[in-house]
Amino acid sequence: MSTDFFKPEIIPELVWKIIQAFPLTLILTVCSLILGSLIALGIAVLALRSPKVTRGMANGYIHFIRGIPTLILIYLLYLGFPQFMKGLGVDMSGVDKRVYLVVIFALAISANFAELMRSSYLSVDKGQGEAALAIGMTARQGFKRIVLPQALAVALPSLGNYVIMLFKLTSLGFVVGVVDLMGKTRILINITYGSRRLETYLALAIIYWALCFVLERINKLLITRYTRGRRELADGKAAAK
Amino acid sequence: MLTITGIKKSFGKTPVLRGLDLSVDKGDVVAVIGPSGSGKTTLLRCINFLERADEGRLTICGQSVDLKTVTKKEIYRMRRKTAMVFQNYCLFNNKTVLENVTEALIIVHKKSKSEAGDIAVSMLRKVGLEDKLNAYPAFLSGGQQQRVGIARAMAQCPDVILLDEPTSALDPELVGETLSVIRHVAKSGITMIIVTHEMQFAAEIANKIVFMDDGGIVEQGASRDFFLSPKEDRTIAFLARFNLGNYYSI
Repeated sequence: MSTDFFKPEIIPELVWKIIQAFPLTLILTVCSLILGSLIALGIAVLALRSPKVTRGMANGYIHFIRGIPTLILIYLLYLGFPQFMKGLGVDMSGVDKRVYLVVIFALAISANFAELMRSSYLSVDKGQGEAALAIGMTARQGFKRIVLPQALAVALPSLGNYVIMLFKLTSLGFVVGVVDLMGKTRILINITYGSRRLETYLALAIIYWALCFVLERINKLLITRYTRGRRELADGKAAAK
Repeated sequence: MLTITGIKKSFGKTPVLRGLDLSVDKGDVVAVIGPSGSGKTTLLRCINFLERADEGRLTICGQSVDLKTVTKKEIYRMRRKTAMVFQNYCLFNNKTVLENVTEALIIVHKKSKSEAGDIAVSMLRKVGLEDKLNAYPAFLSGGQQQRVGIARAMAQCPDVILLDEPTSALDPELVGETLSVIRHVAKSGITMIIVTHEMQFAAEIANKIVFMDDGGIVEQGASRDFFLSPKEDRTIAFLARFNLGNYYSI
């Protein structure tokens, strides 16, 4: 079905070319995931503390970040922030673009992550932690062995979605000129003077789709692993025996 | 064996325990009764340090701590002398029935996995649940869950078991099976403090009754004397609703 205006047979080759840029997409995703989780952990801890000031600060941060499109956050921090620092006499031009992106994506996901951590933690009945203390565990043991696994079970479905969202979000990195999957695609298009746009973007879409599919499968496996004791999610017969 | 002196506790400005004293001997089964909000549960939780009392002294088996200045280390040490059975069971939802019982033995008492398993199985047999070892709590009835709770408490070989309204969350049919397990435990000579609203059961199982109201002990005494000839007006008014004369006349 090859025609002049659509040549599907060149897609496999394009896929192979584009996938060369996968390491950077992976690095961006993993690094922002780690940094974002750490930021979110701090925010969630603040949000769970009793003084109103810390809770207010955490909530303010969550609302602020949630209300800004990530693309704007990139422009704001990558282009705007150095201008501000220059005013203070700090030269930011030596900082790697990829570092900017990791920080920006980490900030972008941290709000949702923090909210998820807080709600998952609160969803575990207080009695679970108390029972752990009552049988003589330390607070740390009780958290690690009893509360955390249950909170994780609650968080996993949404967490998986957020990770997939982040993975796709990193495609915005091309606006600052890094060569991730999206950046590589645009380079390939420029080389052919835009004549094979349809095939190239299709190749890119196929890559993202396949990788997201893998992520979803991993998430499913984790969910079954962590929800064994929960009636509404586990398969009744399998979990009872 | 267990002595509490001058225990005080307030939530904010609301006093819940107003400096009460309690003494329990080895092998005693003490039933703590009284209206809701009288501080029964808080008393129990203070003994187990799930709630920190503001003042007072607690002695269990010769080890004594000042409740005002007690350190974390002392709390962990004192907690190992007690075990708690919760009103809403509080079984570990991410662990199987067997793991619920072995958890404390392995993590806290540092027993080997096989030794802990043996103890757990024998305890679960005592409460009639040896066929549910690998089930998760969510798949058990309330009565079964509470029996696991009791097995979990007994497995730790505590000096005293604290039971916080162990049957309040159960329907009448399930109350029976749970009470009969507790009855069985009581007969084995383990010291127990039970907060309960089951007067009939308290009269039958406990050798000592403590009646609390408004953060203090109104009256306490041997079970029979307490129910047949209560002395305080408040006690008489409270007991008027229960016809326990029948129980003792049999």
